[in-house]
Amino acid sequence: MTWRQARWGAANLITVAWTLFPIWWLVALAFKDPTTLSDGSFWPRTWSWANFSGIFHGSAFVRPLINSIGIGLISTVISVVLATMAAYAIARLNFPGKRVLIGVSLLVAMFPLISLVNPLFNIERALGLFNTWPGLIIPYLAFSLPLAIYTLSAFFREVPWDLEKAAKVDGASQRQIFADVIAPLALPGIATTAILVFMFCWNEFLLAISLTSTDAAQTAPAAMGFFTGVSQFTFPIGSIAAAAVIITIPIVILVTIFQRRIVAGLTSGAVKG
Amino acid sequence: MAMITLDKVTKRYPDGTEAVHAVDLEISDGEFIVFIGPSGSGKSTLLNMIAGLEDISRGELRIDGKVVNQLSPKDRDIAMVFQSYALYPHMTVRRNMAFPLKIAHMPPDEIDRRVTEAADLLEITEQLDRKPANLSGGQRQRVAMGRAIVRHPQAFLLDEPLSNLDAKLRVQMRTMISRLQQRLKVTTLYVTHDQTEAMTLGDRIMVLRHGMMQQVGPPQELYDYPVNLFVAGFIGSPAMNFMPGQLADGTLKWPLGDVPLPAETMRRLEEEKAPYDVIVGIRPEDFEDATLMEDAKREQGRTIIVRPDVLESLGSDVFAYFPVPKRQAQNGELQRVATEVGSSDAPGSESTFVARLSPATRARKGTALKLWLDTRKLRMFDARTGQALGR
Repeated sequence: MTWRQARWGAANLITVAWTLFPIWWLVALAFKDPTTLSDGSFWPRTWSWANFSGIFHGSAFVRPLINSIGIGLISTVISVVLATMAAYAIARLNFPGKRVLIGVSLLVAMFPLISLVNPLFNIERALGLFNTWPGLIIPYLAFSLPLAIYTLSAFFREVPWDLEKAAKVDGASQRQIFADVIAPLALPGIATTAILVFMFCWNEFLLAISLTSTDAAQTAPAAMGFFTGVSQFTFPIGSIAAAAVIITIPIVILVTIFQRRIVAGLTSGAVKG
Repeated sequence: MAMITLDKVTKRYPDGTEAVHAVDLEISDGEFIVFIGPSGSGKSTLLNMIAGLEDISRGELRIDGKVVNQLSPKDRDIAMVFQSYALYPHMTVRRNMAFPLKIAHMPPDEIDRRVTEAADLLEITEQLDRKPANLSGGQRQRVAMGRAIVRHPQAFLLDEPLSNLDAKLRVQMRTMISRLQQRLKVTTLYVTHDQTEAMTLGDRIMVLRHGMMQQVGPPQELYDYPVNLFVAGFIGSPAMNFMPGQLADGTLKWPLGDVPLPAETMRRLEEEKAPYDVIVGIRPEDFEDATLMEDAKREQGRTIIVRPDVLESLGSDVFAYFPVPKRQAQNGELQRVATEVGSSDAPGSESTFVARLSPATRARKGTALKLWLDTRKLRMFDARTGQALGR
């Protein structure tokens, strides 16, 4: 092993340790017995499911988890469907105001969320959307669509233009071209976008805590902020750690399943090359 | 099978540029016609308009007498092969070829029969279940052809189908396309910028320049009697040699010495009231090593002395490149043509001439060579307009 390799190895090791340590800490906390939480050890003396059974006992976490899944999935589906059509139009059509549209949509994405909390709060209360699923889904769409459109249009631009012309000459209708040729090729892009959007909705905290008040619409991250310990005087750190582990699991699963798709160059072989 | 008529077909973009200008052409049933021109000449745009992929701004396109301007591509019953092949990468070869038939709701057993038949014809049966990514360039090209022929369309449109292949494969595929067309007898429109492909494949060739039709006719006619400087420079490889000259008293004055012109040529030039300033063109094969000629034949032409600076032996021919005196007054049209045609093979420019000699020649680099040129084959062009004189 050369000196150079050793140096890189050390750098990698440090980076990985740096990233994984907090995660390990979180997992260790989650599995600790509630009484030994603050014993100063990074390794649970006794492994215990107490924190997990605690959060699943009653509806304090279960109901928000259901809200999270529901709101996350609905937002993702609507966002991806709308973004797919919009991105296709942006990538393939020339229409007046196209640049303005892209600019404005990026501007929305850059807007600081916090500045919108107050107006959204008032609007939603006036409209009766406060503390409902649509009350979160609508702002999530507004913030995820620009990102989704932007990523997807990049993928659509990658699909060779000639394929569309070929399909047209082969007799396909506009709908068939999109469904049989373009969409399958943009599938890695659609999957990537869906994951990004889902992650955004799943992890979002600020709006979730501001626009909900009960478990009718409260999502998991927001609910965690309201955790209490076993009694009023115990610190809820164990429950929070356990909940954090639980809500990380779907993201890990999703990314593992789709990462191959995300990376796969499905379009290889379409044109010369 | 169909007859395709273009009646003043024009493509004008919203910004005012005209990609294709009032092209008139009648393509008869089963004909193989080649559109040729340098890049930007509008040949692909014209093909796309016939396919229905681009709107026709003005003029009429008729297939078998029926105006199809407004018909979408699927209703024109035309198949197209793209330069990039445009195979669907997520489908196997079989599904790629079946795609247009499936869209047309053909029964599965008929689809199967046609795909198998086409695969046999193109010798890609073994590749039927592979994806395009796992095929070589030549195989992809065949699949693209296959997808076109399974439909039994009215016409084939081929847009530079061989440009992405290496030289050897290109020659093979060229003969394959030629054989296929003769066998299927389908009207074929072929776009290329390669004059060898045009000469070898076409029943007729149409030369385009800046969106305007220059000349249309059988390959040999274009080669022997080009209507203008552009066609003369574009068709033929190595390209025709050009040089400004003057016509006076039945004699051509040019830097290679005064040449008395044959009476027949003179008569035609006079009929057309040929101007004083002309551009003279001569093809490389209209030169020969004078020592190899029979006396009788040598008398018909004229002998000049040159010093070749490069000799290229191809086995069957020897190309001799020799410098000629450069003229002060550069001719505008000649220069324009030279730059536009420049992309093609050899320098037929003013300062270097190329002659195609018999391999028996004793020509040596840097030593004087007696070169015979066939004065009957000299082509004259109007120096100002580039139009051919005394065709």
